[in-house]
Amino acid sequence: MEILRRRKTLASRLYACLAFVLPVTIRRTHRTELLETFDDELNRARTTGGLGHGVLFSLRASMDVIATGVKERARRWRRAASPPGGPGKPRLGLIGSLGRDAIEAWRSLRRRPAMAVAATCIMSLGVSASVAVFTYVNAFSQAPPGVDPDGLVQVHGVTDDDPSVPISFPDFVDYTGLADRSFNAIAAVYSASAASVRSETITDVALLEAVSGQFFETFGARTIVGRPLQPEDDLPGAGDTVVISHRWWRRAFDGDPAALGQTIFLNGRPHTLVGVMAPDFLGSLASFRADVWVPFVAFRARYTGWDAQAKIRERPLVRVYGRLRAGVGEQSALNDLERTSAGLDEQYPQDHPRRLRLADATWIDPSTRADEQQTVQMMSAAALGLALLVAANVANLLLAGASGRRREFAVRIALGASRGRLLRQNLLEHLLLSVGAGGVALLLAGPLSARLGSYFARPSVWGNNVAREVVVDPRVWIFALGFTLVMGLLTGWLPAWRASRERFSAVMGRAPEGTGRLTHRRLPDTRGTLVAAQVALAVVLVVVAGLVLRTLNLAAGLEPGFDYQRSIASYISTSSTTIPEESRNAFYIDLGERLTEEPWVRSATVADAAPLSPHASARIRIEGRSEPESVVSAQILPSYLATLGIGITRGRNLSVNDSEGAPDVALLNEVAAARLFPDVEPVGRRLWRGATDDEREYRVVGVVADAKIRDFFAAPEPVVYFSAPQHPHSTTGALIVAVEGDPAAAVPVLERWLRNHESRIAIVNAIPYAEVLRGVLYVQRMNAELFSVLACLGLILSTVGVFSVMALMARQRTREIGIRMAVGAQASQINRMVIRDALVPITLGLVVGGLAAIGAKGVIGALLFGVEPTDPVATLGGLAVVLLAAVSAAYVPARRAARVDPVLALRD
Amino acid sequence: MSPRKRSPESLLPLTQPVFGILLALEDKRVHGYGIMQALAEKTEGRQRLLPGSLYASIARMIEDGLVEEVAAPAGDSSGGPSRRYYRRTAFGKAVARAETERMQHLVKLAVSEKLLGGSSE
Repeated sequence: MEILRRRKTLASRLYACLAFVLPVTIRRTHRTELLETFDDELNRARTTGGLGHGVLFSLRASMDVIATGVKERARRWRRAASPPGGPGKPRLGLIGSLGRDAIEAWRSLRRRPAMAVAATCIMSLGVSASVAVFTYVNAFSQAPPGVDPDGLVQVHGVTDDDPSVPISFPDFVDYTGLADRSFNAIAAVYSASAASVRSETITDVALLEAVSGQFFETFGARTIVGRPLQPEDDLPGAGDTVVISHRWWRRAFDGDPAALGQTIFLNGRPHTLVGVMAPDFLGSLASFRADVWVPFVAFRARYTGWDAQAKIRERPLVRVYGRLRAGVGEQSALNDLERTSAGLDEQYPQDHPRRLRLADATWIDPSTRADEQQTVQMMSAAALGLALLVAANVANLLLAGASGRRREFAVRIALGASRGRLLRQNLLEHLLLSVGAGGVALLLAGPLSARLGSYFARPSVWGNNVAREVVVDPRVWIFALGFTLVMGLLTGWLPAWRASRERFSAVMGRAPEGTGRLTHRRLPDTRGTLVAAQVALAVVLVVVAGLVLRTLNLAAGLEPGFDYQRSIASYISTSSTTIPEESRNAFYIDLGERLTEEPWVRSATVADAAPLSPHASARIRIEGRSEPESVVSAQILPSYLATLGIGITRGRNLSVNDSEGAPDVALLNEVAAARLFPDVEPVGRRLWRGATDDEREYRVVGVVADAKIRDFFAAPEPVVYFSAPQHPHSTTGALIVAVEGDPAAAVPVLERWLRNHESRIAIVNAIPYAEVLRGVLYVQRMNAELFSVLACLGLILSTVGVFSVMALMARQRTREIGIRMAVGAQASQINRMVIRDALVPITLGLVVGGLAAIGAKGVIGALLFGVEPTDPVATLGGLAVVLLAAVSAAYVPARRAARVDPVLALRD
Repeated sequence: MSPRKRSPESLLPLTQPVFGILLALEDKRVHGYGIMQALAEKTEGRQRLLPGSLYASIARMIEDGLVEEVAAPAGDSSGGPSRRYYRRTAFGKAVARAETERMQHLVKLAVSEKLLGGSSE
């Protein structure tokens, strides 16, 4: 300490501290001159080159002293370790002896391979679950693949209740003025929808993104053939150009570079192919795997409805990204943006001033993260619970192992090993075990988190959603390493500490090895507490699993109110065809009729949207009521109700005569009828739809049974069905076909029929309705599977934990049991005695676990549907399952203990 | 084994700091900081030792018998009272010579390969 106090500057004090890395032999002889030389050279550097040179020298000298110290210690350790039988035992430095301890620890583990493998396997369960969940959560903050992530930010609009709102198109155009100041480039993207794409060889549907000219420059995405879209492509008058994904290129052009310059028809309009993106670029949004990118100017010319919205300043429409200039921080870029938005507020005032936020661009939409927050929290909590259970289990296993090594430790202490050394060596053993577990976890992290991500590849009316891409990046490695070390220390310190406190006389004098009981004065001892902890954690996991399984069971039992077992949902597109808009309804009616003539079809219909997909809302006003009522609206053909098996309760169905020019008609479902006309017969009544100055009058001609056509989990919503032919300009694309026999088998038949008989339409998707329903339940299925697996693991671990502790305890009490039996105790009494002993920690665990499960009801409630978090079936069932498992685990060792031969037990 | 019985070649190749120290010492008695300065001066600043490497190397060189600690030369007070002075041993000189010859051989090889003299073959 004296030497530190004498140092004048901070640099020389730091250097004096770092000098401790040098081996003691060098320090003892040269420390004073070393520090003086450092001071002299530091002074010289400062005098000749100023402060900068001084700092540079200090840094270099510090690195040098550390490197030299490590090198010298390693050299000395090598020398000490290599020739055995040299003169005297060399004294090792810290690093040297740590290395030797690590070798010792490795040898010690190799002597007990079964324990080492068991502990590593169990620990890898806990670490793997946590690493997989972390990998999955980590994906939320990853940049899109195939782009340059450094400096790529997204500009979010902010409102009071949503921190991630898109930006209006006119505002975006004004922000592009900043491209030369804080940003190298600013771009906007609109993930449009499916478009029919026709090349010479293929007509199919692809997802399309409309982008501004600087999009690819902003993202730093590369093409593999040709060039990306450029600002010139997005100028008025530019020829219609298009860039496609690598996937689409392989599919439509067989990966032929000659595709460049060819014409592709997007919804019937010709575009020139100018580039193919590199295979690793998968679009800007994980949930929207785009295959085609067009410039805004071409997109707006084709989609006039969108173009109209793009002119409105109040309409949030596009996602905006920017690439920060080198050296510009997010805050200063945000300030720059805010200055522009303040100018816009003055020029184009809105109800609320514009608020913006900058964040690193992520592939998974930030709003998705908010939606899934509760699931993610529960996943993390469950993984942590499993990790704790594993820690308790392994600690128990190691404690049991340590008690078998008591003699070894006692002898080593008696021979002069320091307790610190024993503690260190024991800890190292456990760290080695956990490093093995960490390695297994890293191997499993990818597949496990991909399994979690695969739930998002859920089927829906619109087509299968893409699986969530999960990448194992350096953050995952760091997490795995840190978590592994924590697990190693968590499980290792207790056994290591106990081992280092052995007394030679106690062990060698053959004093009984502890009482062998799990309780001390009726309270559980260390191992008893660990058993209780394992039982408690298992209870929580099993109860939660019971609750989510009941939720899935209930949700799967819900009926949508239409016949989904025998029908196929299909989404078709005619937009690339030559069928004029006003003839489309006639075309669809004809299509339905032709399909119905097929022997495998019971009935077919077309609607604006298929049940269990997004539907439009409409505001309906009725006579005598000033406030309009919001309802779900659907535009259907007369065959809709029959195809879906929705019954008519009053009045009539729509008919072919309810066409354009005839009086406008509507059907209500029961909920809508009750809400709109609570006191009167609705059939024959009038209702009005639309804005006050542009209302359209309809007459209710019938009431139909309730069906959940939009939200599966909510109670049936009010629905008003309109006649599609009376709305020729609305989009229609849902083809619903009720078939004879198995719908899954009929899907390829339908696809073939459509291709052969109606080449003018593109099939976006065709899927049995039962599959759609399965897709709707994806969160419930994910929760059920995840928690069931965790609960099973938890149950197995705690059972094994109870078993191993009971077995050890029975072994330790062999002498006592022998004496008891020698003086007349019956086997059944011994059996009861051992089980009674185990019941104390098991009961404690059940009580604590039960209370914890009830206490966490707020968190668990978020995962449930139709089940209370305190559901008695799940709670009591969970307790019973764990109790049964724990008592069974205790029974086997108890039975074995009761069979002890008193003569043999006392002789040993 | 006594250092004097070892062949100088057994220590080759020398590390850069060790060779530099042997060259900087000449046949004079110099303290550690002096060695640092002398080496920087002789190599026109191209080779600078840092204190950690310097004293670790000196400690090892003493062990190997390449240098020895000696009393301060009369009248030299540049190092102050705490400085230790070192001198190259005969063995140290022999090792430096052997290292020089080794390097000379390598340089000859490099020249014969026309690595010097602007040949652009």
